[in-house]
Amino acid sequence: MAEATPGRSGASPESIKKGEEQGWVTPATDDHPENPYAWGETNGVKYRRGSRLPRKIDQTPARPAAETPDVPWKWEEDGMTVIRGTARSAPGCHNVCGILTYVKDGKIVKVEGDPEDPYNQGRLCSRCLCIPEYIYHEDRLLYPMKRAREDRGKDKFERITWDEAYDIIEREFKRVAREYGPEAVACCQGTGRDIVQITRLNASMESPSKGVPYFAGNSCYLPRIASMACMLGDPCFMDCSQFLPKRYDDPRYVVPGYCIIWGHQPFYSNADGFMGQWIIDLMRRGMKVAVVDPQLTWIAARAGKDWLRVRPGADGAIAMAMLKVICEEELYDKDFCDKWVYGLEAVCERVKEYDLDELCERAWVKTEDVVRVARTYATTKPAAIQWGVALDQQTGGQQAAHALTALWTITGNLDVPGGNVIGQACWGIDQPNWTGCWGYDELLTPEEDARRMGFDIYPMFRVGFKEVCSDVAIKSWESGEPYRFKAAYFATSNFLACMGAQTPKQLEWYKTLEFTAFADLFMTPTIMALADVVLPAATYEERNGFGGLNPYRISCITKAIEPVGECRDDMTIFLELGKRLATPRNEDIAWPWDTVEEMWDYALENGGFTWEELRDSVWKYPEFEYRKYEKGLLRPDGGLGFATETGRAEIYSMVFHHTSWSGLDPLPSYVEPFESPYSAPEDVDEYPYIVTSGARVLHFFHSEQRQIEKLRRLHPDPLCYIHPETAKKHGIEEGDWFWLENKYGKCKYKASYNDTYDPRVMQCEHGWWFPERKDEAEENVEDENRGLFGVFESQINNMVPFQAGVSGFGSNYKCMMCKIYKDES
Amino acid sequence: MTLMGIKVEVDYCTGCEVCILACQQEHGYEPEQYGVRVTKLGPLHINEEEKVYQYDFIPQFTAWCDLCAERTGKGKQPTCVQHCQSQCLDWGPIEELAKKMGPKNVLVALKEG
Repeated sequence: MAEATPGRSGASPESIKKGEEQGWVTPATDDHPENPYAWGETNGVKYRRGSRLPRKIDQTPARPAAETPDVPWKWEEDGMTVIRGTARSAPGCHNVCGILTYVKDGKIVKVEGDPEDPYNQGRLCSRCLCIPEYIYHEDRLLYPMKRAREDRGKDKFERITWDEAYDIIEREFKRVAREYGPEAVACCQGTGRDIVQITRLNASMESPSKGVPYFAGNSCYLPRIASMACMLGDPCFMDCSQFLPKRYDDPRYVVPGYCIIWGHQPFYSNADGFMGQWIIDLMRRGMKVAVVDPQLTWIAARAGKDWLRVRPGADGAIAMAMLKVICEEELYDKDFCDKWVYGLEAVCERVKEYDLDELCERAWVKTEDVVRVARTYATTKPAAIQWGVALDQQTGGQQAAHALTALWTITGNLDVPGGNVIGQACWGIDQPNWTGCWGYDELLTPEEDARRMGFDIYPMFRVGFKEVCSDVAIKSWESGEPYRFKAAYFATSNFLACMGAQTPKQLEWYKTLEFTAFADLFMTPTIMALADVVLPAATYEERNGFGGLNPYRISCITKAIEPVGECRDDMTIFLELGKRLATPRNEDIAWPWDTVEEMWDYALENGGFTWEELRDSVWKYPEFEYRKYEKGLLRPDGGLGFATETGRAEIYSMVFHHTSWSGLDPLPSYVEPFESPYSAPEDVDEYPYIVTSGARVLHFFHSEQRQIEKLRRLHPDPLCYIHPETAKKHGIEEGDWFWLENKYGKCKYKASYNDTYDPRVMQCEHGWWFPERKDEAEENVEDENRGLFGVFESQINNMVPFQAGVSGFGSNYKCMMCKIYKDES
Repeated sequence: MTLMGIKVEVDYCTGCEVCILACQQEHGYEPEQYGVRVTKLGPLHINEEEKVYQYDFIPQFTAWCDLCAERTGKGKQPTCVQHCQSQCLDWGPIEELAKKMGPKNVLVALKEG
């Protein structure tokens, strides 16, 4: 057995012993049951409750950065100051590309991609290239504002000072916490902003309520993250060399021979810290692709026969079919399974229960195509799977994710170069980490955690993100069980225009909140409808910070200009508000910093560098290791194997085994979506089509950028992509507006013909509202919905059923039955 | 005089339209001015049974394109070439670009340099 070395997070037995010698309290473990409340644990890192220090229990010096670039962070060029940093948010984005910002007389002239940065290698997308238009836009929110509760929906905001805004928020949140309990105060957020630090805000108020309670089934990434955390102890990412600063030139890296792109448009979504163009980089280096997608995407057109045109919602059927082929033809990696996998026999037994042809028929694909893709995937070394949000947006998504995780596990593609590798927080720095939860366990007691909606019903909500279960939150509005939210802070969440399911209902519910505060960059329909206090937020060019949301590296966000107007960055707002909102129990420990930079020094402590040092080097990569299970780098105890009960990669999940009372299945399965042509055949006559929400538009991040003229010009209208045969049957010509409708709601889209779809399937873009209709808001109309920038008109999510899967995750954003008819107005 | 131009690897252009925005930013162009536009071709059903489709995007250059004379004068690449998300653009004297031609490549001669 190899000598165990301390992992990037967690503590080795030696370091715990050393900590004890220095007078620290030992974390509560099986060996120390007497101290159950002294420590909390977030993502494998233990925190001592009730004291900010000592936090770091692993006394091993941090491993030095793999490569610190020898580049300046600032210089003069042609009379301009150039600032080298990385871009995160706002506006929203899931990446941290390297950028060069050119500033003259305190104003941004232009932003370019940084050719030295390994992440994007000089490239940049349209949204960053338009950032000056964003920052200096005439509609940008510039000052804090307030509005009387009875004027919600009307443009009756009044400019106030930051102090007054904070006074109101403090007064109202404290009143609500006093009257209804702290959990009635919720902190909500939009995606794509590195604002997960907001968790510390609700935790300092002793409220466990944080999340996206309007987003049915928490249908974005959490289901997959939680699934991987249960099975493997850690999440996996397709390896495109992004962990290595030398990238494709690093001799350790191996280009995958084959990659299955599953429910994912890589260069449209650039989701979850994954720059989609890395796929192109690999295709140039010889990687072949298969694509599972209802749409012939650009990349699907390059997959040839390996494009599997899946019925939306039937991804799990294809995953189980592939698993069956690989198990029954014994194409798995026997040696790897013998040593490191738990449950292969059980999975082989499970797949016997399924008929291959039936699975493929269900998914509307040919058996021979699925068999070929399965064989190619299993016999190509290495091979990878790059998956997308489609897996999270169906009621059987968790089970499909289980099957997919089993695929890369049993084929030995787990944590090997060019496969699906395990990523952990860089140096254990969890604060900017994509799993967030900063401060949650430091500041909340287990009893308070247990008050979190969904905690007692859905065990997967105890793993990974500490989020409110939206399924429970949605039901709570009607039933009052376990309680109702009464006040909320919304950090850049325009949920009425975006992920809110059956949004008119969400509006009715959220109107019952006694107090709301919003931070954002523009006046959104959600703010117009609901805000009592509005705080103007800063963009990434106007703030200091560092980019996380990925396990590859830590990179610096460096302020290039002073904020326009009176804008403040989210982190400063959290720090300033946090000091006011912390309860007496937490007030010394929740926000003990005077400046954001000081707060970052604390957050970066485990890396062994300060924020200024990070700014100077721009980015730092921790030394990355493949096959961590062989090196004792995954388990908190430093032992070999995975951070699971058995120490193996559990394709038979022990977590699901212990929690099977909740309906979770320890083995992968195919679950037909709620209300599909097969689970609700009685509905097919009325609702013969299947529509997916969330078709991505290149230039828009969810509901953002609609007011940026250069970008909107390239994509002016909300589109539904539809087979011409289907459209013509309903008298809909290309470019005509038409309605989509189901039991839950309706919406209006412009037809865009595409004859590569199955004629029964169509896809709608999401996130649409019309900032140009601000005149209607300014009229202070009595019908308040008229002032909401047309937000419910082309809102595909009006049609999303509230039903989540047995895991509490996954609602049918990607597979809704519907009918269509032409708009006659 | 050498003719200067841009080489496009059509098979790798994903239609991200970054070239349009990069050009507009570099030159301070208005939304309706652009040195390059991207045209969509397809999806065409070349061979349905074998799932052979042609689905391409093709950048086309306009008279507003000056091949980023100011940038290239400082030893930088034209901004569309640098920012191209799939790195499908190359630039230089057309004789040199011609030597690097591959399948589905297009060479556009733009100006005398």
